Amino acid sequence: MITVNIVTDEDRFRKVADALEFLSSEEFFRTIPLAQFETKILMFMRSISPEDRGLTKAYRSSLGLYFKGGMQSFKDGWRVARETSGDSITFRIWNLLETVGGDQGVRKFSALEYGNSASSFIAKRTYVFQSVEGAWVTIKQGRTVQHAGRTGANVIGRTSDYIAQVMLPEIGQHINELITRRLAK
Amino acid sequence: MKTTTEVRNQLVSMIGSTIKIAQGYENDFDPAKVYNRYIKEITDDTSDVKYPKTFVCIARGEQRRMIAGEINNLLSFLIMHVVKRPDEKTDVQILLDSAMRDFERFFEMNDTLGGFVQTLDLVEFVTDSGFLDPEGVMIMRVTTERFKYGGE
Repeated sequence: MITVNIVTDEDRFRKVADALEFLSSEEFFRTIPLAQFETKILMFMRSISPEDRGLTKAYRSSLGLYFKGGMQSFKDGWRVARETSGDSITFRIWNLLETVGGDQGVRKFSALEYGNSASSFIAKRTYVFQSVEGAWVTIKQGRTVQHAGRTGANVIGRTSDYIAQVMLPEIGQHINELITRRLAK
Repeated sequence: MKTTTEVRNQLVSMIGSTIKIAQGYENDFDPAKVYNRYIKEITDDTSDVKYPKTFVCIARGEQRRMIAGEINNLLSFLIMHVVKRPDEKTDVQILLDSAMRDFERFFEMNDTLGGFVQTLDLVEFVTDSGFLDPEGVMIMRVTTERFKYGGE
């Protein structure tokens, strides 16, 4: 089972989400090499025309953004990170958020993720599809993170489990079987 | 020619004693937290005082007999480095990036481990890519090469 999480906000990032919806057709996932996925997302992000506000460029309209309190705009910078494990792949779409308003002055946030703080705007949007010998065969939408039968935000139990089950298999195929067996005990 | 465990112990010793801010690195490694084997209990111990922790494990060895009686001994080590962000504001992946720079510098500057081996190479590495936040884990595979000549 391969899990792909595209991290964005389903409400405030409606337009982004809609576009990703388009991108996430079964055919798209079936045919696109993974390395190109990030490029594709970045190309989309860069294709959005911001409103020029002088010192800052605002994506309020172009992304359908709405924030309570203060004027907020996105800096013209996006970052997509791919997180790969043995059987899951997560794409996090990050941005640099610039908040401009009143006495608060200018605040910048970076690396927003998973809606885990008051200043975060990003929630999960999840696409799940399976891989058979490296070929994408199915896609389902709206699933939560799945990894090795564990579900949810706390999918990782002990650090040693993650090392043994996820990281070591990625290191040197010819040595990992022995090491993984040894460390998994 | 040094034995496999001597090479491993030299690697452990040099990582612990060399990676110091005073020596131009970005981090101060505590020799007491650089272990010469993988210890599961310490890996899973999330007490702040346990970080950063480094495990150096012998992964694989291979010996080839070359022409003229020369023996080429190739060793693979896994170095697991675990960090933890000290507070909410710190990005653990930045901590890991910093440790990675230190390791890369270490491998470059100590490519014979003080004369214990002929070569030392960082072959590959993986990171948890943020999955283990507030921890960050990096596993590196390094290889060393030793040559034993006739009569040695």
